[in-house]
Amino acid sequence: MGIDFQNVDFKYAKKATTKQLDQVSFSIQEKDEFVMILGQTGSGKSTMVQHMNGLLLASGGQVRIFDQNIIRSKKLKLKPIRRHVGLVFQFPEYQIFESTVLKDVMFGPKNFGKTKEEAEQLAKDACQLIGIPSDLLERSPFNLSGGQMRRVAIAGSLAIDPDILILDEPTVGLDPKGKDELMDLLVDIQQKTHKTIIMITHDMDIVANYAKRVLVMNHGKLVYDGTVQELFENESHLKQYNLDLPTSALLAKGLKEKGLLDYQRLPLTKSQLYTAIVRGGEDNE
Amino acid sequence: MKIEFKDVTFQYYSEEKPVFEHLSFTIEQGTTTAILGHNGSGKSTIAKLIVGLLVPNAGQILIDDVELTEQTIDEIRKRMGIIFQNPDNQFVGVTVRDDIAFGLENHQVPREEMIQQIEKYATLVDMKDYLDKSPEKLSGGQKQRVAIAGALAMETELIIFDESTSMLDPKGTKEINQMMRSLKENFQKSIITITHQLEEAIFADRVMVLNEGKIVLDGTPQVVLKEKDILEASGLKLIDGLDVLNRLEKDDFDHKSSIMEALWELIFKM
Repeated sequence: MGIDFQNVDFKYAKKATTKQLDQVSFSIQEKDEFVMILGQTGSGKSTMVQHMNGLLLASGGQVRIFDQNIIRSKKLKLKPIRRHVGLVFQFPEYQIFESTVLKDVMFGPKNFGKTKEEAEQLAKDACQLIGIPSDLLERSPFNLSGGQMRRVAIAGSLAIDPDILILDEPTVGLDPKGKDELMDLLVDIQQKTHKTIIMITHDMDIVANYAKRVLVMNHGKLVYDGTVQELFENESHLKQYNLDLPTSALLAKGLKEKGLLDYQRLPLTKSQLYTAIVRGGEDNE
Repeated sequence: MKIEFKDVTFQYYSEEKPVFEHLSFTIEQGTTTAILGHNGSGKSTIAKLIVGLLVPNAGQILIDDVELTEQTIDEIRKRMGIIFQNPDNQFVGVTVRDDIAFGLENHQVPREEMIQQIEKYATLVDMKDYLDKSPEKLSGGQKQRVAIAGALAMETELIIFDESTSMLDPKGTKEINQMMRSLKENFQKSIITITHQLEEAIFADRVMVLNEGKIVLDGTPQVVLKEKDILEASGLKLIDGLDVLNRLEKDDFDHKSSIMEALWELIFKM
């Protein structure tokens, strides 16, 4: 098993009364998964992913990463865990510091003991995966567009070749085209490399279009683990977790209320909405 | 506040090509204008030229028929407020109250009046309960609302939103969009919103689309948002509903016209 949480609790201080994580249990396979983590700001999403590569240690319960117990102990070695699980923070481009794109992407593998040649090859492979053209490699990362800088930063994590890649809101701040491009690349990387990709997002249109499995956090508790369709069909849950519907679902509901559209399954994406409208009342399976 | 660009050319010092050449347009007083464009289209440069953070290489910028120059900029700038992209870079106070007070103090507003202004505008942006909170206790959307209160407290005639929602989560974006709508409805201000999100242009009186330094579309949202090909060529992404509308246009099915009309209506209300 890649990541396994059993009844995980987390508090910032021993005496604190509020738990940032409260009895969280789930597991994620070491390959071939695409998981999105949702929840409003402060619900515990970032705290949870920081447990996935040992940045935070659980106050209670058990976290296992690639079958290793992550507990507070002098023997705990975090480097091998971080080889398995790469974590890309929000606005990762703020952490770029090297003078060329290639050097910046090479930093990670070199840090994990690769030779210069090996690191260079890994960096080049990572850049290719994330769609950074080779003529940019010798350029300064600071003269690139925001979207390109974001990719360079993600390439830095990819170059370590982790089995599981976690991204905290990778699309925030990109323009709409940049968002789509990055999501398409992530899907492509997932399919090509079979890595498990886990990402935090607030963007319900991205969830509707790209998620397979969804985890929802609410007040430190894992309140949902399942498919996108089921999540968005259950309106009382959405309200309770403070989640919005995707744009197309909102429009579909609006049309239904006006008596202009009927459907068995709530359309979540624009193509599902289109199909539902054109087929009229027919089943839009 | 009336804003006029006459044959404006601007080039960044370090760049090979000008951002735009001979750009001309007029924004009428009291209107809400959305300037749309992809990242790098030159839209933010326009905002910086209006507030005098940048100076054109050629051409003139007129504010209420007065040319923006080194001599006039100080007086004119007092009549403008701008909300930038990054909520963390523009929070100067230790508390919400201090932050809203900052601009007023600079303008030497008397203390009594200042206290009233702060209360009034913090209430308006729904941040009154947070007056003594420090910025790290606030979400991005809340910080931007404080920035809006600061700008409103100055009672400027023009407020510019320069990609003010691009670093916020969808909830924060929605908050700021609602705030913009209510400003438009309740104040006699000129509003300019600079954005790459079509959602933010829907409620404007006028939408200008910028691509490669040229205005490629200019009109009401109803007119501009139908130009799918030009919008896409300008690096903008259609809202899902608009995309569906475009596809339906070519089809033939029952109740087509009533469904399309209803979709438009829903999109404009979103």
